Amino acid sequence: MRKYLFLIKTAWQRQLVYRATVYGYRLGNIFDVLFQVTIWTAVYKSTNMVYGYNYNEMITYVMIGWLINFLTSNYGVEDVVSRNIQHGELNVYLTRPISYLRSLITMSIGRASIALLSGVVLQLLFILIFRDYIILQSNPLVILVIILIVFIGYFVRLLLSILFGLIAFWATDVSGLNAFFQTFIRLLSGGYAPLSLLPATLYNIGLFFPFAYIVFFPTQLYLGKLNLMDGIKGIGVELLWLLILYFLIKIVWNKGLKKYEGVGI
Amino acid sequence: MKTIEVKNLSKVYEYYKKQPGLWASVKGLFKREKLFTEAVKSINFSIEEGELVGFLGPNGAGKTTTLKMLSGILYPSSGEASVLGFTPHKRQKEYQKQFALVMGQKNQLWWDLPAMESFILNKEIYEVSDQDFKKNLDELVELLDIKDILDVQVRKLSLGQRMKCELVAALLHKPKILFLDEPTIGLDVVAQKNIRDFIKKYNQEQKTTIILTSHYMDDIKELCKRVVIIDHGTIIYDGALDDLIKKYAPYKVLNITFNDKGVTKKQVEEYGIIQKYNQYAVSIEVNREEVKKVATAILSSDLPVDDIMIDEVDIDEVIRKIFKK
Repeated sequence: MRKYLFLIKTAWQRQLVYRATVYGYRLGNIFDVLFQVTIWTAVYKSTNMVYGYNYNEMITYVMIGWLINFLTSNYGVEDVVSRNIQHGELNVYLTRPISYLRSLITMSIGRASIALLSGVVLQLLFILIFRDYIILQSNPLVILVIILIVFIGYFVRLLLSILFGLIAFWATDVSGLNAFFQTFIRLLSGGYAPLSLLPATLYNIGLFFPFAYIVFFPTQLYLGKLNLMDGIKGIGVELLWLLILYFLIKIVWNKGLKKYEGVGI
Repeated sequence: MKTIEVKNLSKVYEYYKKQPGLWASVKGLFKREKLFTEAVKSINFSIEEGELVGFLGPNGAGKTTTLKMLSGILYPSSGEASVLGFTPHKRQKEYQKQFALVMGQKNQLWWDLPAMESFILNKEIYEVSDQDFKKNLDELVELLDIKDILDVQVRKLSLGQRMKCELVAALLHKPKILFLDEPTIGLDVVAQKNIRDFIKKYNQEQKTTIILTSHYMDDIKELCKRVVIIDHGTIIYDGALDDLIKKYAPYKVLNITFNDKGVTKKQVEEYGIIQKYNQYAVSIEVNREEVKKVATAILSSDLPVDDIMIDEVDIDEVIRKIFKK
């Protein structure tokens, strides 16, 4: 365990070397949120309701949704995995008494925690600016469920990224796929807009997959469009997916290693 | 028990054939032809504790593949390897704590941080006690003379400095076995010598078993008494470096200089095969057994001999000949 704590510490230090990168990301985040607010404001000029959302609800969705999307991001772990595999950096892990998958999870927690500090401050600032339009949720039970869902959601997303990155065992170049994956996850999880905008069938199918529970579900809970019971069910589904993903990763990892040829040395 | 024992070890790589051209690439998305190459073909060898063995061979001969199998990165296709009694590809922690792999072309240190951070992390990974860590680190830093670069970002170090740090990182847990894959690649002559001297000294003092691969003959000549020569996946020689010369070069070279008017080619041809000729300096290949006789014959002839030397064939020359076959 101690070695993994040190790994987090080292990951932090590495992260802090690149202050410009941290600031750069935050700057990008500002435009991301502003862009969405601008679009929805324009849309609501000609109507009061969009798929059952009024203006305030939509702005709240954008703000809270963005915050949750941010909290559950892992900054391209799939890229890290595929690069490690393709460039043979995996060798370093395979020859040392340390588990690659566990290292990956600890390092990404290390990285997320740094981003967390800077990103949350920024988002709270936004929420403050738009406070007149934002709906507040005060039920402590609902907030607890939301926190739980978001917490599990982080790991669901992390495992999805790892699983996706492992494709590199079989494909030679996956950078295009990775870009697609990022957008795909954000779209299906409701990170761009509420999934209520989707056709009903697609929406219902979506509930069987883990994506919707990452951003859309907790935001709906926050807005009171889903009740506490739904939220608890959501936690169950997420946990189930966590297990499924864990076993899938185990299988794919073992198969991949057999195939791995330690290229690049 | 031998420290390293390898029996009928083979590795077959799978790959896909790719025809040139765009259309072929598109076709390749749907149907690909699978091909196989045997990188290592049923090799056998064993290494005793404390030995320093050089692996020699041209690019793609199978040296690195063998090292990768010994360090557990690759699953062997068939045959078995046993190192310190462990099967490498099982990747047991007890085994991993007892060896280290250093690759001259790969960076194992954290690129953006000072080397010291990687050392501290390695201390934790290998579960080295504070005491041992301090002792080993001080020793290594002293031996490699890198005290003043420990706090510099790795990316800002020169290649030679980085290699030294890589070695420290790999040796902090006092491995019993060290695999060095081209540790001097890309280094200048002075840096090469530094690394070489270090490896030699470390092997003598710590009795670490070392396998070294290198393209530089100087590395091998300086460090290894025993060499294993691999070509096209098979071992073509395994034995003492000195014996290699005797086996593959059954002749010595007579280097003779002449004065006065010198000699004509015809006058010296009868003594052996002429390697180099000019009027005043001639190199002749002569069978080992006959070399004394021939030298005497030349000296007692009426040729204007100024000086005569009997030389061993250059090892580089021998190796080049072996690989050309």
